[in-house]
Amino acid sequence: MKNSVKGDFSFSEIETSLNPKPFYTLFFNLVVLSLFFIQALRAYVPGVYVAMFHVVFGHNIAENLLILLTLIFFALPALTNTLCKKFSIRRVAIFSIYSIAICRLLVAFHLPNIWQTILSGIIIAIYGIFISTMITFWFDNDIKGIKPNNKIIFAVFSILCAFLLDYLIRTIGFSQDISLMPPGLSAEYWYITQYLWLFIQIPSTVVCIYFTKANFPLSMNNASSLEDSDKIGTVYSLLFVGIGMFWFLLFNVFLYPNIIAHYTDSSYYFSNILSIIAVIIAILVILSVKKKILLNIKVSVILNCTMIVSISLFLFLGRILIYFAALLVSISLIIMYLNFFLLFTRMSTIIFKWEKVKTISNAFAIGLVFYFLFTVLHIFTTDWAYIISAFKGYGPIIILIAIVILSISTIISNQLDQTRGKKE
Amino acid sequence: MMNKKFKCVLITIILAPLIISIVTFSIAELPRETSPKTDLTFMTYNIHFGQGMDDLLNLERIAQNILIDDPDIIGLQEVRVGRIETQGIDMTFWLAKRLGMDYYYFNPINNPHEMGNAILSKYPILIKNGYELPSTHMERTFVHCVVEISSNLKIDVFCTHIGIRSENKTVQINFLLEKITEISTSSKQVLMGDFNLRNDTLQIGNVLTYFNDTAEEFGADPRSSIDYVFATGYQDILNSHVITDMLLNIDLPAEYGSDHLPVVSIIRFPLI
Repeated sequence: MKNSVKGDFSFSEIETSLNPKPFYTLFFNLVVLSLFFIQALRAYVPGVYVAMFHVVFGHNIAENLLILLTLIFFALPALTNTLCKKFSIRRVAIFSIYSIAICRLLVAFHLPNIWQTILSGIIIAIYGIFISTMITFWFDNDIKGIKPNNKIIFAVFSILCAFLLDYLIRTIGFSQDISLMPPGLSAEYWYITQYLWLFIQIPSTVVCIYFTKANFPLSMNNASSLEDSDKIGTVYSLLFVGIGMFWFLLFNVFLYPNIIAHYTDSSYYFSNILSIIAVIIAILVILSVKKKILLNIKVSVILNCTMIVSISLFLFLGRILIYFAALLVSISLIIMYLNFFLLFTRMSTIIFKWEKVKTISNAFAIGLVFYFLFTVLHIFTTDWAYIISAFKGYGPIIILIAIVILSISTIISNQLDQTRGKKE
Repeated sequence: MMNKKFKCVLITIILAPLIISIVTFSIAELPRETSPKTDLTFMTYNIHFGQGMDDLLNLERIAQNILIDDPDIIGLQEVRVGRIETQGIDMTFWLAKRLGMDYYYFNPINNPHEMGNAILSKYPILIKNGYELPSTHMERTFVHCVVEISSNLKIDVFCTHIGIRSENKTVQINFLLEKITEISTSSKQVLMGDFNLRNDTLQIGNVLTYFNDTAEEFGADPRSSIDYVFATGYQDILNSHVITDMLLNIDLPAEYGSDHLPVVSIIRFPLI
């Protein structure tokens, strides 16, 4: 019974097959660049929000319109395939790593808002290029001894580690949103001390570039190519709206223990601990439970129904249920991370009529567009509800719709596994 | 077998956030030590959602602006809690923990997404309440806290942010003054906030029938500020000023944490 549930993921299997140096490079890059992406996504929306505010009220219109134009960056990942054909996938991957590392370093210097937002937008867009080229590299390389399933688990594990590091950074007080929290530092030195984050940022950028230059993990030898029969209908690419919903839900509500605490009248510290435990449990489930179990349609439906009910209770009865509501949110968070894992698995393993790198980059671009669309909708139903009063109070409904879309996307993607190979 | 060093790294990445979050939880409510006194520094500060003149969100900068005068009691306006536009931060909570103060935050009941007001205090807050002001556009509120300085000295502190539309201002000021009369627990009262009104307006004249403007009483330079510290039941005004220079000998937009400047008054209260 135990063996039928327990997965067979092993770090040593990957480390041995890949050799230590490329292995560490791959892990470090995935974790650190995902962390930079998380920080950039969190910083970008406030920058755009301020720019929209200034444009509406006529302050520095040209400068702020420039910020709004950065929304075009969201389409950049869709160009990955073209770039790869022109410059080779390896070069594009390395370029994306360097670009993200350098842009994040520049942001750490407390640049003016316009540059901070533009650089954050660049990081988000180039992360789409990075993840599609890196994942294509990683999956299309036929490395003896590493099962394809373990490659996916390793990639998702690295991204979830980035979420854990983000929680750690925010718990301590070091983060992009709050530059520094040095208790007891005297006022006259704050202008210098706010740059303390550079002691972490500079080594991260340098190591990232050095590792990539010294031992970029893989070559494109023995790249496996899937047969035409494995390709499925383009229309299914819309299931990656689910990835956009995952980002929307996380970056608008559920990544912030403060929000959970505020809407449940519970303690920030309690919600913070629960949120961290949720990521850890999701990681442990992904590492130790057979993927077959998670892909099971009944399991998936039960988990997603639990998530929808839990979030509904949080949204409508949060201040009555208090700590129980906070607990329900953390249960939902575990399911959200598992859904992300399943969607990521699909994104990495299926191939549409396009090439693989295009499949992943398009999936990322679709996700980003829907993320932004729902974020704007949510802002108009909450903070900006005074502009169009008919929208007022529909914030929870937008969140519920996003939860339902995420659930449907995940369940459809699970079914897709069973119907894989069938043509439209 | 997995490399031992890598194993350690993985365990650290997974467990460090959990351990640190538990540690911060356990030290969060350590008792603060304050000595009873009668000369108290009050500050009102519209923090503009933590965004400075350079549009950058930086609460540490706000904290440093506040620390220049190290006030005992602070009234904050334009405070946001858990909004995506301000990166989900609970600003009152963050500043209160950063400055080691007790706090109370209130935003409109029917629109939790609207900005709110807060009071931070080095001394324990005994009673905390929030009220909505009558508004036709963008809900406005005021908060009331009773702060216990010592067993002989308790002060009613109010913090508000009056609306920008002229049709709301008179109604809101009248409501505020009536409510203050109704809910005050002592004669020692301080009303702080952003009134969006110059000191020669009728509405401020109305406030002055209940309170004294501490800046005017102290004889501070005439100013065009719309942020006030009003008080009544005090013994003396020892100082009143606007903090205009955050970093001495440096003139940068980056030194200002908000589009408003902090207004400070040092007030002496009688013990009885």
